[in-house]
Amino acid sequence: MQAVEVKNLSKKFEKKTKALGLKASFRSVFRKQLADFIAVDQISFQVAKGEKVAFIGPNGAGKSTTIKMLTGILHPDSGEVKVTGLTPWKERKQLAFQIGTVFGQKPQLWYHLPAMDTFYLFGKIYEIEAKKFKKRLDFLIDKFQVQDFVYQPVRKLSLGQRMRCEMIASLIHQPKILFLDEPTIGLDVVAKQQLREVLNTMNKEEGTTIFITSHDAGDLEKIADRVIVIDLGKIIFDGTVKALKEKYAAYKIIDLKIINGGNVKSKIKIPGVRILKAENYNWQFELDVKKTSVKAVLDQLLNIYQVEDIGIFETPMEEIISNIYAQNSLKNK
Amino acid sequence: MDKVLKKLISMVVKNLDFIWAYLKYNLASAMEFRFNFLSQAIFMILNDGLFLLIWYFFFQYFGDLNGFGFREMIALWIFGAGGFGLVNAVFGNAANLGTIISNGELDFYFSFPKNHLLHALVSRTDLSAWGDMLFAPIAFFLFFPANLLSIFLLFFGILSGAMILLAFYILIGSLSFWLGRNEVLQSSLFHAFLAFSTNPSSVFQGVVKFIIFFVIPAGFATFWPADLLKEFVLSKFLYLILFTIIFFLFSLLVYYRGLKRYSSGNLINVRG
Repeated sequence: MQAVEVKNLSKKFEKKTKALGLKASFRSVFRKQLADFIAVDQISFQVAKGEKVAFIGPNGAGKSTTIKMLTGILHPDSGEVKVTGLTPWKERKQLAFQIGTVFGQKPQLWYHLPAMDTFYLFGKIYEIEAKKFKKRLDFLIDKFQVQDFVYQPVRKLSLGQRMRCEMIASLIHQPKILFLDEPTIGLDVVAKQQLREVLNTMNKEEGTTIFITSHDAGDLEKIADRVIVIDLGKIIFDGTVKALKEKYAAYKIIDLKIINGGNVKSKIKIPGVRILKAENYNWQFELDVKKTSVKAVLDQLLNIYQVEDIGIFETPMEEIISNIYAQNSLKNK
Repeated sequence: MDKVLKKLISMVVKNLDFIWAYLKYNLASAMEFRFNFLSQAIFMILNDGLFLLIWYFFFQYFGDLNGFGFREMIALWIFGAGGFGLVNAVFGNAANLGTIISNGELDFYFSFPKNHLLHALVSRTDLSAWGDMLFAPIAFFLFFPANLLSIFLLFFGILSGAMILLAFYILIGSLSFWLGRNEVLQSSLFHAFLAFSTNPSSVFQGVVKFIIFFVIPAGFATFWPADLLKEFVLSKFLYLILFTIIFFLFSLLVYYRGLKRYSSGNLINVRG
């Protein structure tokens, strides 16, 4: 059995539309103008148990609507969904025992109480037997290293500390699948790193399936094995992070430090190579991976110059993602 | 049958345990700001007492209204404040249900394995309501003879009044499923309920009387419990139970009918 099975899932909303101006506003008081907006359009995918999937897309692409249908919050218009074998909108309560949710922008912790109080309340909500609950809580407190601040009111915690406590609240009932919506939003570099590490550990040690939406490229690279890209309600890419890079990484950067200087512009003439920086001893090239290879460029450079140091950099993930969105929006124009 | 009964009892016990847990943490959260909590509760008791004082002078000056005097007014306020206090202390989000619906905030409660409506209602407490809740027994023991029947009727009346008010909150909150944002309408309906339930019942006649029993059922929430406290009539007692159950089930029916129209939201919130 797969952790998540989605087949031809669709959802549309009615959106209020109104022409500009006071007259139109007045008219809309008496007659609502509605237009259909397709949020999710016939999407299908599967997530295996223990897999770590990043579900990405620009704002309004259909990510949140999909997650809401997977967690039983929204009814789809058509299509099938099974999450741990359950149909979310029909068996919502049973499903809630199987899944955990972390919404970076919607805290679950009580603001004025210590996080510990929320954990105990969640123990009641998930009907966890006292001994089992204590054991689980001790394990998570240790894993997330929150001992020093778990008894302080949440309002006094830093965002990073708060997020770690949010994670504990979501994992207290040992869910099989964890749905995370922008969990690292607003966190500093260290807090992001800690959160990613813990997610990977939970996945490794407890086999928790992870389904994460994020605008942070680091989340994709450091957490996900697989990426699903959704835009305008349709899946436009579904594959490994490596495959995503291969398909959409348009260029690589080569940094070169040479011992014998010279005029690089006159000597390097390879199609697909652009010189970004050409100082005497420090040069930087951008090469289009579709037109040439790193090897071809390096062969030529090493032939001509005595090289002291080389650095080869991939296209930053942020740029890959924005390329995908740009290409898709061009295609749909 | 035995199995069904056991399951039902277990469900009730679990939900009561859940409500109790929330009540504890709501109170604990309120205690974080002790002065705020105590001052709101104490001032509400004084506020209710002040209203009674005004009515005392009113009846002293004008006399009874069709047999309705100061004693009847105290009874009305006991059940009015008691029912209001109980609902808003335990189900403190009831008054915000319409806003929760129109803002798409039910999403949060859908992700837990509990009834989402119950969860939404219990996840807040109204601090001043604790004062109202305390006012009811204080006024009762000051002005009414305490015996087994009267104490039973006090708790029964507060409970039935609370259920009727809760059902009314659910009904006016459910309007948001159809109307979207409509805070002003909800607030007007709620204040009509409040006004009808805490003013002399004897002055309402004809169409208004029909309205305050069957449209905005303030009459059942306070008039009848007050009548029963004055003179116990079994048939009235049973009718009140029947009405409370039917009205409560009706509110749930309307709520779940409206829920089919619910669309979620993407607001950013912080829990109290």
